[in-house]
Amino acid sequence: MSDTRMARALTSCALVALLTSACGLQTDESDGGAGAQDGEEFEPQDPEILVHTGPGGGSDIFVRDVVSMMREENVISSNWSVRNEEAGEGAGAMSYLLERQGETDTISAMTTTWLTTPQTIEGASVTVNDLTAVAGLIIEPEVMAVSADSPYESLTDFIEDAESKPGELVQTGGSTTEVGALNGAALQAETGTDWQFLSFEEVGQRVTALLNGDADMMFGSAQDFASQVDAGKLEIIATISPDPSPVFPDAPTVEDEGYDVGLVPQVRGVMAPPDIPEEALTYYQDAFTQLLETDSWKEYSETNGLVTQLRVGEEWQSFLAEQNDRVAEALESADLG
Amino acid sequence: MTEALQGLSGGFAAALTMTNLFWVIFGVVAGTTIGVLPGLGTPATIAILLPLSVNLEPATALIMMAGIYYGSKYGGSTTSILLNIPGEDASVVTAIDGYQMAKQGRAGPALGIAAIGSFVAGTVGLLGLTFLAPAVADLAVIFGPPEYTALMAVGLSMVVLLAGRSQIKAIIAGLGGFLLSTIGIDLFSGSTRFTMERIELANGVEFVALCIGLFAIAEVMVNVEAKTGRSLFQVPGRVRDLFPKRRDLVESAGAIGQGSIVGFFVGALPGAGSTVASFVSYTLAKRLSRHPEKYGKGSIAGVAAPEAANNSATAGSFVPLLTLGIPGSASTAIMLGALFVYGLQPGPRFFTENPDVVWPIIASMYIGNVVLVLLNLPMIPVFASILRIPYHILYPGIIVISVVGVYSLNTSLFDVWLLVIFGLLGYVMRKADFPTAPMVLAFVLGPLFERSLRRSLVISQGDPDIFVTRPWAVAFLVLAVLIFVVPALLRRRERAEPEPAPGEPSPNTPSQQEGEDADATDVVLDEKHEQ
Repeated sequence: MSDTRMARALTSCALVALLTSACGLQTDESDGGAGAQDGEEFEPQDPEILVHTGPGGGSDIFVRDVVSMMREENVISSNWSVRNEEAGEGAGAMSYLLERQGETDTISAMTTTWLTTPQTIEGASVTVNDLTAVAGLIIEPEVMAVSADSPYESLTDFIEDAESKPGELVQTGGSTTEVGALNGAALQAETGTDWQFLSFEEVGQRVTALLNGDADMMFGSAQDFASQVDAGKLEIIATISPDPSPVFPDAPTVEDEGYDVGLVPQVRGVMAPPDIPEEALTYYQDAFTQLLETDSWKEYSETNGLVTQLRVGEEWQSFLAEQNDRVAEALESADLG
Repeated sequence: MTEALQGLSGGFAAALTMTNLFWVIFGVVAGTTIGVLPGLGTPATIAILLPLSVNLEPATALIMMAGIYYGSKYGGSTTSILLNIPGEDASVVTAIDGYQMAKQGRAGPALGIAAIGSFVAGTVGLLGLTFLAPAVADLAVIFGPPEYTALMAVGLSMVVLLAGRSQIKAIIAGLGGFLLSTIGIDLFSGSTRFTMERIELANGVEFVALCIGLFAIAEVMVNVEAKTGRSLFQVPGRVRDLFPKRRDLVESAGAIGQGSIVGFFVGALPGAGSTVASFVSYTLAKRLSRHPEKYGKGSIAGVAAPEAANNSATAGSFVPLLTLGIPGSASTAIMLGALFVYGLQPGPRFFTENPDVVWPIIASMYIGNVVLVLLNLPMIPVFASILRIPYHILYPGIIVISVVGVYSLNTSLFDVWLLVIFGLLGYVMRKADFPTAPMVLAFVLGPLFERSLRRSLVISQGDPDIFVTRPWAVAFLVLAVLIFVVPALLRRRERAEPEPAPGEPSPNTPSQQEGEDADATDVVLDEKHEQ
């Protein structure tokens, strides 16, 4: 057992070393070849999957995990290389797909950022409507964390405090256009409150601000807080999503707390270039559908606090259109549109 | 203390198994290799190896990834010193004095002091990680935006220290760097600044393109133009001249010590990192030096300080990762991701709940440091002989490495154009006698300063009091003042009671004294001519 492990590790490491010296970012291990087995079914020749964050970013780690699960569960027969197309918060990746109209080897992971970017960044002209919607995979319910010694025990506590101290409380998060910030803005608009937003590039810096009291609360993914909650330094007091978080199922949702807010969900899905042949689209849709049924996926989504919500083709396209309007609304209320 | 020693000895037992030894060596060799060449960065390499790590035990996988991480810091100095091409963000500062040393025929000692400084500082940083981790983690949490603002104020005011002959030119170059750093998406408003609707600029100007353009490309252009048939580099013939002499070590000792400590603490702060550590350490070394005028002209302490700091910083960056579960950089973020895959949760209880993972990783880093210094020292003559390559091959080679490296960062031709533009800018700056280092310093620290300042004001709702009411912010501002005032006072006292400094190194290098004086003069003349 451990010998085969070692051998497998060594083989892949030799290949990786070769590629490393070639100075590329591709992880094409090309063992087994990508040719179609029975000559009829479509199979991509040299598949690559784009990610709009750099190595180590949220999407990057998610996609690398997904590809290795698909490999392990034999959903795909050749390795997919991961390509980081970082420019402009998704704008670069979207243009890259648009340029490959009709081509079948490139797909891309997407998140809610892809809906925000075209509405906020100058020069980002491509939108998800210009691309082929392959499938929506998950919703990542964001949760609300506060320091363990904060006076807040619920979202309502926080909102009430914010009402008595307009402009004084601080929410921390990433850029002012990320999902957490948009939902914060939507809540402020709904409740007539006003609080500050403290931007940090790295999740670590945001959690630090929460721990040292520079910020009063944060909306983030379950994984952002798990270890600090474990250690009793942070508490999760609400779920900022219609769906409960698998990691913190007891945290009441915004609706449970009695607020009627059109929340923007953190979604992850897959997009392809425009006008790709039907058989290629079906191939990718089947691959992801299969993945979502495997045991590795079930375990993975549970530990990472992801809610599986498979939406394929048309259904995914119309879901995106719906969310797009919601993002526009939230940007409006945050005065960023 | 005893707890840490116990943990560490257990860690060594685990790290010294054949499997773990193999992977630590694999990690540091891979790290050194990717560090030598620009392009493929450390986070990208670790990400590529992520699928491989699933087949390894958690501690083993982390041992390998950590090896790549600190190994790349060793490798980064090589091309900085030899070719003025920073192989890695954190070795940009090393190029300033390292390349000047190479031109003076002291490439060997420069490479040697980089290896030795890295080893010493890496080990000091590890001792810090072993014994001080919990205390330093508390400090990292206390360190909020106002404290960062104060720290960056210290760093930015050092622009003046990187000046050549004219302080006003240094300030102009610094402002230019600051201006360049504002290009891109503004995190706070979500709007784009000065991108001219190019999405390639939305994430800002690529740092590596800026540095390689200003340093390497500009250098090649100046040299090609000034080529007069005389040799530009002196290549020492004797092996003895390839290694640092005792005097070099004495001269660098203070810088290495200072770099070790500064690097560890700056590295432990989430969001600062080893590039910032190397800048802070370099400028501090220059400030505290009795011969600040030698910096920028081939001072060996100017190589030792940043190299020490960037290696110590990698050990420091493991403090928040392992004790808080907070990654301070892209590389540590991937390692955190890898730990999640194993179902491990680094955080405040990680040391007590998973000693079988934590301690082998830390122990392996001590081993990796030894492997790296043993690996790097014998390679020095090999690397130094690169300078024997005739210029008509070397220069095109430098340009090829630069272009390929910059292109492969984002596989973007746009970045190559940026490289060309910054090459031209660097050339013009050299011609007009503007120093390039302040521009790069301001480019790195400027955004950190701007964002910390804006964050502080968000927290205080616009009240500047926040900088004087938080004890740590005040402490750093006081420190900033002291850094400026104390050396000046000391120097004044020295002037009052002048004493000859016997151990003071002469401006001439040893190899030049030993019968190559004529060549040395040529180089000096050559440099004057260039400027």
